[in-house]
Amino acid sequence: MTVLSIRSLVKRFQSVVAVDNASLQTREGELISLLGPSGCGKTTTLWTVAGFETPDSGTVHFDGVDVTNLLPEQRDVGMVFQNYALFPHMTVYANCLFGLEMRGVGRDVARQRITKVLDMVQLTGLETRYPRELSGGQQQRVALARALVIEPAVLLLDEPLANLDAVLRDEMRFFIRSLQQRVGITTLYVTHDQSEALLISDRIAVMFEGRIEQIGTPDEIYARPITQRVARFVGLSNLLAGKLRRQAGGFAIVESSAGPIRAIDNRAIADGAAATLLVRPEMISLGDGPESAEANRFTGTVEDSFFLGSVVDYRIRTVDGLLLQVHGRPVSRLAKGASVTVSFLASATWILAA
Amino acid sequence: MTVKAERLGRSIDRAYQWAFRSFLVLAYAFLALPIVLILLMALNAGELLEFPPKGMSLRWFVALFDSEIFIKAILTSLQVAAVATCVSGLLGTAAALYFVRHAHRFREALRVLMIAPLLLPEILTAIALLFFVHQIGVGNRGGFGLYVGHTMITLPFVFLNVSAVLYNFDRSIELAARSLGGRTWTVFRRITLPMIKPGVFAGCMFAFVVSFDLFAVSLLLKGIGQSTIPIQLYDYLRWDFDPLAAAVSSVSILISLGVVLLADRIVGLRALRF
Repeated sequence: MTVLSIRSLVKRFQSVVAVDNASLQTREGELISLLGPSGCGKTTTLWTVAGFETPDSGTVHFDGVDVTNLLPEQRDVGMVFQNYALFPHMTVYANCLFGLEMRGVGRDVARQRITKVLDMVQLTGLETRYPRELSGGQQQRVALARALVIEPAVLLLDEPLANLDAVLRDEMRFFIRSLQQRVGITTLYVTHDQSEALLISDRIAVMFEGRIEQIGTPDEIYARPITQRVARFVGLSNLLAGKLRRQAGGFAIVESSAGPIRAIDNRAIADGAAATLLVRPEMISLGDGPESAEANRFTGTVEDSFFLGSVVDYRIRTVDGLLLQVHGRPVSRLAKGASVTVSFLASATWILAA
Repeated sequence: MTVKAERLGRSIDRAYQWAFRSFLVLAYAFLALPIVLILLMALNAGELLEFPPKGMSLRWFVALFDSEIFIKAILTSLQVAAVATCVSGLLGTAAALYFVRHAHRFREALRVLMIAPLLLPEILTAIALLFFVHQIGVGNRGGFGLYVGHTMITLPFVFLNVSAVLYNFDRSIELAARSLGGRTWTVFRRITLPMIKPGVFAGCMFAFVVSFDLFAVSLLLKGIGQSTIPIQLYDYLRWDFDPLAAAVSSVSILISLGVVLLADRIVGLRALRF
């Protein structure tokens, strides 16, 4: 297993800075997602690791060995493209064989390895098919097999699920994750889909405008984002502006336009500084909630509601004029205009810089 | 009421279909009829090039195969077409690769230059080339100009066909091959070339058929005593007017058709889509 490390990577295209001083280091066998909106530099970062782009400065290391100036064919990476990039004139078997041939693996060993990998991706029996004769999901798995059969140091996936329909995409997330863990290969995974990143990753690197804004485990990213745009990009959020007043015992008060809100303290923000309170819609409950010193309670009316299947997405206007997004259970749905009390605990919140 | 309207709609549909089919038949007839006529005239048992034929016979085909000048012309045409096709195939493919993938500064100029022989009247190209070969002192000896002329005229067909394929070429396939360990040349040979083969073959097919049929360039640039089918046919029709001319035409049509069928057999024109 390999440790992949990217150090101070910079890549410009004419005047546009695509990647701006990006650094990250994986652990052995770890899957890190590069998550961000389109044009944030995540794909460029991946391509630099693959060797398809040369960085303007910065380096890429595999297990401490600098590979920055190596050609793609010298790098030992397995790459899966968004459009699969299968060789259309070759069968599934020949697609998988190509990489092994290039490495001078003997016929018999190659056959064994291909059989094994096709079994892993559940494509046994389709060896003689051409890519055009396969479904999207099957093509995707051929692409995975082709990348894995060479037993590369690093696996790179560039939005591998973007071209699949929703049901198949959900299935393939679990499939790729379990496959990656079984093989135990260090993986870099590019996606713009936050739910995909949350599900599949050991850690997520959130990128904006060429910079890695935050890197952390999915729950860190979700529960303790360091900036507002990370909070907004990953999951739904209520962001309430105010001023931080530090309290004893790891708590703080955010003085908002709707009065003081109890929250978990964030030491990164100075006492008295402007701050933003984050509370996720599913952390707010309809009703009074438990009696607790931690509780925040608001009364208001239902302004709008949207049925999402597993939850109902309410927009609730408090008497102080705050608009809160609240997720409720889809039973006994509240009518528009109904007055309601909502509550959330300080421990369900997070304070960000303003 | 609605039943009536539906019935009316259906009969309009039917009338439309009928009209469309008739049009197709007419269009194909317009294209195919001359060929059929030539074949029928070649099978004429009579002495003159005429329609309808006076009885059926293969005598003019026999006469063709007995005619040394025509056999020589057919062989010359085949040889010139083969050479022009191969050279155009190589140059046109290389030029298309450069044009689509690497040309930046002189891109438009290169494109115009490449397809110029297609845009200019053939006779102009021929005259210019005639001056050129005499200027460089080669002249009409050995038919050097003939080969060059045919290559020039057929080059755009390969260039355009290969360019079209390259425009739609998904570069990530080559990147995938490289990341699997393929060196540049290996990737070109094992991935790129097989994938652009349809364009190369289509271009070469055009090149061959066009070269086989070329007149003005051949007329001006042929070597002394050298003759291609169209030239020989032209010469022949000046003095004679018998069905031998139709037999020659038939054979040349069959050769063109043969090339298309052969290409279909070797690469499978329909299997070319991926």
